[in-house]
Amino acid sequence: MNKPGLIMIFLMTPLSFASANEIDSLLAGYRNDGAAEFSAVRGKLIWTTPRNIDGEQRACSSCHTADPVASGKHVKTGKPIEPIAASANPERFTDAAKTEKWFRRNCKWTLGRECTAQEKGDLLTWLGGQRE
Amino acid sequence: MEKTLLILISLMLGLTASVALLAGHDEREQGDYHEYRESEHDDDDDDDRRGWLRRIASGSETEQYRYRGQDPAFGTYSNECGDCHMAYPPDMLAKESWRGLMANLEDHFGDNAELDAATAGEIGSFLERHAARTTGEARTSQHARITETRWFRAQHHEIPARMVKKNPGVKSFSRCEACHTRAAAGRFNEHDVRIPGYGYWDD
Repeated sequence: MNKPGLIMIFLMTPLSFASANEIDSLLAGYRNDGAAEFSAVRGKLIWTTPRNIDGEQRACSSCHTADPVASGKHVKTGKPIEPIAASANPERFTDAAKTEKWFRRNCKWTLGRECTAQEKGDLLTWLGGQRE
Repeated sequence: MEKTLLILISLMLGLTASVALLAGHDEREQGDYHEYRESEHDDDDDDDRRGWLRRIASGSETEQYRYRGQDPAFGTYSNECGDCHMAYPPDMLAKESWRGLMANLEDHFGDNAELDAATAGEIGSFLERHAARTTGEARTSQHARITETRWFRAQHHEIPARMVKKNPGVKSFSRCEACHTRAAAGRFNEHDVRIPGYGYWDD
């Protein structure tokens, strides 16, 4: 293997570990809040199910697209959104406060209510398994 | 020989003086963005030339943002609000408009943009500190959206829908940066406008 490639891998490794650890600690927090085992299958279902809120069809994919490793686009402002999957965007889920802020906003917009600890854990479990 | 030297020296002195004058002019504009916007309104080439010289004088394109950038809350504002849309210049709306908007982040033009109380408070005071001075543009206080202000409409009324709302590269007037190539630096000069799919705009 060429040297730059090796250096790239060396540089990126700690980042991907950091993200996995952050997701694990978020999941541990949700278990503390009463969630049971997490399910990627349920997580995917939350992600893909459209709902009718305020007379609009809304889903996570409205902005993030159906593919979590793809770049999204804000449905109203058109602003580009970096991929939601940590495998494609190592910064994802590294800041717990930011993660919770966006869960609160986006669950309310998409589901019309806040997500439960179980739902957040299911979503993160599914998103954590998404690879490019 | 001596004569040439004298001419050269006086030329240099003259240039220094005009650059200093322009820099002084610039500082006044920073204090009153509305005057600047009104002067943009005449759409003449002097404006462009002055802008060009001003850039040389200041060595920066962000002079209009400098006074906001010095505000300790600027980072919070641009990070939090800039996550979803351009962090609009606070002086594009009146204090009352910002206050109403910040009190209703749960329904932010159909989106949920709620923040914790501390962050919302910090951003709210920042916006009010740098809001439009209602004396110059009293009517802004009636409006919740920048695009509804009289000033905004006067600036954009000639632009057909096909270039903005029906243009997939733009979609909405709220996306300043889609056409104003230097919007991120606080520059909205007509000469920096490139409309996606159409290019230069000249009225």
